[in-house]
Amino acid sequence: MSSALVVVDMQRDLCLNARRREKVVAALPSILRLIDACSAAGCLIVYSVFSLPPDDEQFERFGDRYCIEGTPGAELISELLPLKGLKMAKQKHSVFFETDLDQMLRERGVRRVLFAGLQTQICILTSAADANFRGYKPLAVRECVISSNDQAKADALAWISRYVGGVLSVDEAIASVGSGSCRE
Amino acid sequence: MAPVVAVSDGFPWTARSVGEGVGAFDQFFAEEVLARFPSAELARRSDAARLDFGSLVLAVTCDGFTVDPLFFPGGDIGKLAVCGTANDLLTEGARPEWLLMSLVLEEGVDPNVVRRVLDSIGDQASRSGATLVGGDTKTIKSPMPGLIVMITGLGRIARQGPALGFEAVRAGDELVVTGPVGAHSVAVLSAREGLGFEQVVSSDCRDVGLSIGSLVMSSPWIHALRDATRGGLLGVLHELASATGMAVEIDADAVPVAREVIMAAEMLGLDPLELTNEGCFVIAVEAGTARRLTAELRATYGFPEAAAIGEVRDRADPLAKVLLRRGGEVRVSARPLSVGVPRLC
Repeated sequence: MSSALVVVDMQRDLCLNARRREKVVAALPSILRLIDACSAAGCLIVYSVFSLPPDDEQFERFGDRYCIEGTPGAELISELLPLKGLKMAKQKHSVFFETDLDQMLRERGVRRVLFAGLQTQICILTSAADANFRGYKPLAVRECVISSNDQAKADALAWISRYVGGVLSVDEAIASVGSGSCRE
Repeated sequence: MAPVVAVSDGFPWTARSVGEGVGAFDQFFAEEVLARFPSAELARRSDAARLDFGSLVLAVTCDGFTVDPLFFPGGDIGKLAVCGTANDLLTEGARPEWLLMSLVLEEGVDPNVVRRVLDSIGDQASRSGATLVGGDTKTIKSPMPGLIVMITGLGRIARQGPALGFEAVRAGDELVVTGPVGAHSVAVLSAREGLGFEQVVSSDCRDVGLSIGSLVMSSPWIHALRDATRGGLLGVLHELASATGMAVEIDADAVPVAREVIMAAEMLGLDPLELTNEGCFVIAVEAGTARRLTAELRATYGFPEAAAIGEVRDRADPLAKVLLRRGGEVRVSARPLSVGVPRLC
């Protein structure tokens, strides 16, 4: 079964935020291992980035401003460079919402989508649900998905397992793509 | 005069919480509106007013509609406005015959968006058998260009026999819900925030009277009905309990909820029974008739998931207004002062 890796919103505004910085630092080695393994296996790798207009209405709802298009805060963190895949802009929580991701996955015959990045209980969760509704098997990679709130992360992973997909350890995820699954 | 609930005990209502239509609205209505404009008709807190001219009895309702986004799976603000008006009139046993429409355009709104909304209003009005006979248009400055639709609907009460309303509900009456709950909230929230559910969940927005209008008009064993909009199913049950002074007990496990709505509600930390619906009614019927109504709704009227969910009875404990049976346990449902905020960040 062909796989793809989606690295969700690893941007400066979100990763350097004091509420998440420690969690990002802890997750980065696993994320980089996973990216390397997927790259070596020939998997499609997509880095999603929030790219929001300065007056985006979600800023008022969430009481915060972040990832405004063209600002340094919207850039991916430097630890991910050079990129080993495609950068894809999005404006809502799900990586599928009004993006070309579904089409990209279909063109490559992808059936299984690995998720890394942040936040687990929002964008990873909604993207996993969306992937399931579109016929893919979403798999969150436990050490590679990040949340500022440990309980929220645990609840989100339990939700994904219960309703839409599964959760793998980073070793399990690497082993699964290392078997050449992306080239099938 | 039906009792009016004072729930606040000093809770300061805000414009935001009043708009949610639950406990804070009860306080606002009792302390700020009814206190200034006392009347028996207003105190009924019906979804439509009943105006008795002797040989002619009219139902009249007025409602303002805002929704973000304006177009969502299963509907749009125009369809929502007409269906919401029709559903409110149905609670008094009337169909929409005449509509007045007030539009508030927010500066910068795309004229094509306005045209689409007007087309939708016209299309749904035609389906519902209503004629637009007047209205008004204003423009305001707003940071987010869109529009607000206000509709006044009038119709002759065609109900034969005793009037509909919570006043007609008796101890022993049974409760039926016409369909699965929560879809409208999930569809709109998902379309606004990009949660993924917008492709699998559509709003239930519909003019319910198109299906069951004749049944409601001709069935004296139907005592009251209310569409479970803001505040959801639980909101209606609390209003029923407060208006009648009786207790309402339902089997929460019997309430139909789509799997995707359960998933979304759990994801967002919301209760499906409190989510907004736009085409789902709670119907109070004479004891012993719920099973018959449910079977008819399923087989004949296009509500395949209609379900008998509970009953109304004398209130033994003054605080036990609404009781929920779930998994064999019974708990008292408290009327929330405001609705929960979706868990999105």
